Order: sequence, then C-alpha cells, then structure tokens
Amino acid sequence: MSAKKRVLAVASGGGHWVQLLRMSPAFAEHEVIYVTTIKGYEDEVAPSRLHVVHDASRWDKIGLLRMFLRMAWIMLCERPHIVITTGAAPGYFALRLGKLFGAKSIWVDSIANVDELSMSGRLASKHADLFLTQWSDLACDGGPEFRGSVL
Amino acid sequence: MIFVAVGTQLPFNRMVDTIDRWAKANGRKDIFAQVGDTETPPRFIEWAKFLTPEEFEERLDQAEVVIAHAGMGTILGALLKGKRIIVMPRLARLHEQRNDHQTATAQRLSERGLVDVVLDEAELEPVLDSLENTDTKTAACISKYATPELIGAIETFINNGNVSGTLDVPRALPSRPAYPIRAAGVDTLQVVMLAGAIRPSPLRQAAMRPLATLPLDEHTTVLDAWMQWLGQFQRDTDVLLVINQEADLERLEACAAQAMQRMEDGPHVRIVRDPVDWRGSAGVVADLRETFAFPDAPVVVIESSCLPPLDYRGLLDPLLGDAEVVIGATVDCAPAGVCVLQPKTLDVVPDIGYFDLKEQLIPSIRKRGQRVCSVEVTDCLTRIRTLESYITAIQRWAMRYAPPKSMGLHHQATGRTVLDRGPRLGTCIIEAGAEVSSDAVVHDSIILEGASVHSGAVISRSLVASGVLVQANERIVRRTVGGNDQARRKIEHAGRSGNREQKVAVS
Repeated sequence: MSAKKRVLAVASGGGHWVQLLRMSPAFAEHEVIYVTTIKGYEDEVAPSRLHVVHDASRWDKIGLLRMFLRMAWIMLCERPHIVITTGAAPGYFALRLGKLFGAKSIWVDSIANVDELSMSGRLASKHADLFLTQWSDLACDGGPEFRGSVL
Repeated sequence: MIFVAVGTQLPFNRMVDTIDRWAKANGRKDIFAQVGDTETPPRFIEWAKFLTPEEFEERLDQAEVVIAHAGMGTILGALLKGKRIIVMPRLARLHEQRNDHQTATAQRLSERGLVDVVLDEAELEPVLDSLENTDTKTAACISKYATPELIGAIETFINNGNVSGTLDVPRALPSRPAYPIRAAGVDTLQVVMLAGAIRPSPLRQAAMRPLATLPLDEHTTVLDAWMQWLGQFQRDTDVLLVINQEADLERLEACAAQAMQRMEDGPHVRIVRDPVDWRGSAGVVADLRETFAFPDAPVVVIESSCLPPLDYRGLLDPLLGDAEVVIGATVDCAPAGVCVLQPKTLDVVPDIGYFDLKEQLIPSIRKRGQRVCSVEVTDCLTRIRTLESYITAIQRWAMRYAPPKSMGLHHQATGRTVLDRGPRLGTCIIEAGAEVSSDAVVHDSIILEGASVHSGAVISRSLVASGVLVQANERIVRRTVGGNDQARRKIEHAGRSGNREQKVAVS
C-alpha cells in the first residue's frame, strides 16, 4: 500500500466535470481536491474540498489571466503530488503550474473528441506525464495512449 | 415528460424553437426545457435558463425521453439514469459551437447504440412525432464509473508514477497461420452464393436491383466485397451465383463481370437460376451439384446479402480433420453468413421438398454423429435487409478499411467529407451516373445511378433509387424512394407542393 497522496482533480463545468467524476474511484483512497468553473458541485464531491476558478475560453484573455492567477494560488495552497484533468483551459493551466510545483500530471482527453484531440489536449500533450485518449484509434506512438474510456 | 437540455454554455434556439413549435401544434404540456442564456425563450413549454445540479438530476428522473445538444455532460447524465436520449449536434457554421466535434461524437455514440441522432430540425420533427409510438423503447444504460481499465491505469500511475505495458485493444481477430500452409490439402473451392430471397425485402424493391449489386463505397459493391473475401483463400474458386428472379439477371451479370475484371486470377463467377422454387438453401445447393466445376472441393455457401466476415482463416482447417461442416460464426456464436460443407454431406438432402441449410441439413448431419464445428470469423453479422441495416453496413465497411490514424486518408478512402467542406455529411455514396446538385445536402445516404437531385434538396439517411427525380428544396428523411414507392411519392409530392404554395400566398 503506497502512501496517501494529494490529488488535484481539475475539469471545467459540464461534460468534462462529469467525465472526471466517473474516474473518481481511481483516486478515492487519496486526498482529493477538486477544481472546476461552476459553483454548486460542492455536494457532489463532499467531503473533498472544491475550488472554483473563473471560466474563460481561449478568446477571453483577461478571463484566462484571472483563471491562471487563481489556479496558481490554489496550487500554492494545496501543493498536490498529482494533477489529473479532463480539460479544458483550467486543466491546461493546472497541468503546467503543477509541473512547476513538481506534481506528476495525467491528461485524459475528453470522450467528445472522437476524430482528433482537443485544442487544449494538443497543447497539454507535451507536458503531461500520462496522456490518454478515450478512443483506441486516436492512440499512436509518441501521442496519446488508449487505456479504456469513461463509457 | 420530455426533458430538453442545451448545456451550460451557449443557447441552442434552433433545437428549442422546433420543440416549442411542435409542442404548440400537438398541444403537449409535459415538456420542460433548459434553454441557456437566450433572449428568445420558448413560449409554449416550461423553461429555465440554467439548472443547479440537483434540479438537473430531478428533471432527468422525471423524464421519459431526453432531447439535448450532443454534449457529453447531458449524454452521460441521461445514460446513467437509463433514459432514452435523442441528440442534435451543434454546428460550427451556425456559430453554435467552436467546431463540429458534436456531429462526430454523436455519430460515434450512435454507432455504439447509446444515443439517437438527429442532424437538424427537419430530422427532429418526425422523431418527435414518433415518440408516442416508441416510448417503450429500452434505452442504453451505462455503469456508474469509467471502464475498469481506465480506472486501473490512473490508479497505478498515481501510486507508482508510471503505467507499464500497453492495453490490448481487440482490433482484429487473433491471427492464425496463413492458409497456403495449413490447408494444403485443399486446392480448389466450390462456392454457392445465394443472391435471391423467397420474399424480396422492401429495400430490394425500392432499390430495384439485387442487394448484392448495391454499393458499399464508391468503388465496391456487396458482390465485389465477397469476391475480395474469397480471393484471400488463394485457391482456384468457382462461384455459382444463384438468383430466383429472371429480372435480376442482367444487372448481376454486369456486376459480376466488373468484379471479375477487377481481380486478376480472382474467382470465376457463373450466374444460375434457382432450379426449383421453394427448395430451401440446402436444396438449392444440392440441386446445383451437377454444375459444380470442382465436385470434390469443399462447398462454401454464402448469403450474399450480408457483409463478408472480417476473417477467412480457420474456416477450412477443420475439414482436414474429421469435420463435415464448418460454420463461420460471430464472437457471440451467431452465424456469420458463410459456411463450408464437405460435398458428400449433400447426399442427405432429399430430391424433392424444402430443405434448409441451417435448420435441417446441419442438424441431420449432427444426428448422424458427424462433426460440425464453428469458427469465429467476425465480430457481428451485418445483414443488408432494410434501409437502416444497409446504412449500418456501409458505415461498418468504411470503418473496416479506413486507415485508423489518418483522417485525411479516411475521407478520401470512403468518400466521407467533413461538414465545412461541402454539404456531404457522414458516409454518403453517390454512384457514378447520379446527378446531384452541388448545393443539395446529402447525409448518410445513397444516391444510385440515374437518380437526379436538384439544388436545395436535403437527403438524410435515405436511399434514392435509379430514375428518381428529387425536386428542388425537397426533404427526404429516413426513406427509400424508388420502385413501388414512386407512384405513392408522386401523390405525396403533389400534396406537399400544394401546401407550399399556400404558405407563400399567406406570407
């Protein structure tokens, strides 16, 4: 039995969040801290902590900056060992920031991306320690691995 | 109760308004819609802009059917509760989403039988109308969590910092030794391909040609696919193509000639008329024995209105042992549309009367204590019988031969085109000799040679047969047009154009 680790589980609200929760048994025995963009998910993950960051898309630069700063603050406070995310923008930031703080990172690309990886997934691919796709035909050498899906 | 949901991001008025209009027209009061931050909320149904997670759960619980954009959050939510879900993908060109991933996601999930897809408002309306009749339809249900493989991989990574090995993905059946070595005792094959049916299917009637001559992609007919499959055995092969309608002869002849021309050293095809009616599949094969080019060779019996199985290896091996019959099977032990007999087993077949292969010949061989064995050759049988099964066959065929990692090639190889490059969606086949206007929308449909489709027409999940003329701006959704259908259609069309004139007059 390995030591209990702090896992930061990050996903934007909606589909990414639902997919993240479907993987929750994988980190149930560790200390999990959730980060999302929508308030109101607290009850679903209680007693784990939940942080809310500002939601922004890739065109909203100021929103992205706010999200980034908030994520940096969360990272400082929580100091996770592992960052796991399904996307999108908050996941990318968490993954990059997590690296700075020495966390190992897992990117599980959304099951909605059936023909190609998401934009945030492509950006994150270089930096994730474990990079997974949920469609076997997207897996390739030097790219994402396929190890099952949320469905 | 019908629950409509558009997700947390943008509104989706194209879908909500259609449902709103339909609710008004049908007097439905039992619809609730989550509509997003829209300026024009629906007028005839209950709605809310957003729902809290608890409210969302509650609405899902009350719903019999969920109609939603193709977002994963809503889809997973509905599936988890075992609710039937109909999804309509958002389109990038209408600025409903950043890209067209929803269309692709919806199609992939619908291939797995998890969701029903409607591509636009025109498709949504008939589905809404049919809800009453299909509410007993059982919906797909999924487990609460991700697959054990995914959870296991993440768990291992968290604990150990890495994941070793790779996951075996069953892409193809396990490989067996290649034929030329194993079944060295078998030099020739006698093939009987059954291309007729006692009662022609509606698809056959509408298409006005034998099912074996229908295209699977722009270059391949069902018959071609079978010839390629037989070619893999690398044996001298004589193919008897059995028809039971004289009318089929001409087209099958042309199709067979083309298939033989394409394959050098490929099987040789002869077309024969089913000698006696009501003889049954084994009866037909036995009656044709005199015409066999290789009377001592194993007899391969094929149902030509199926997609050929994925594999061919292993089918002949048991004959070298003591097996008399080898049945090609799917992984779940259903017949795969092909079986191989030792010619002497046909002695069992009586000279007159109906004698079926699967239900009479095989059981009687077993009763005599002779060995019958089955070999897995495919994941599932795709039988072409209805329009839906034909479209499924085309999609499976496209997937089978698509190079998995290069979408560019995939489009080229299968005639698939992506949304924003032109109005051809999904897997479409437009046969050479069909005239289709460049601004007609064609989606998952088949346009046979000699059909013409005028500008502005929308054809979705349908088959348009030879000689059919689709008028400008006409909509054909989930239908076969052609054959016996034509006369009826003319009447329908006259009625509809009358309506359109009325509308113009009013506006």
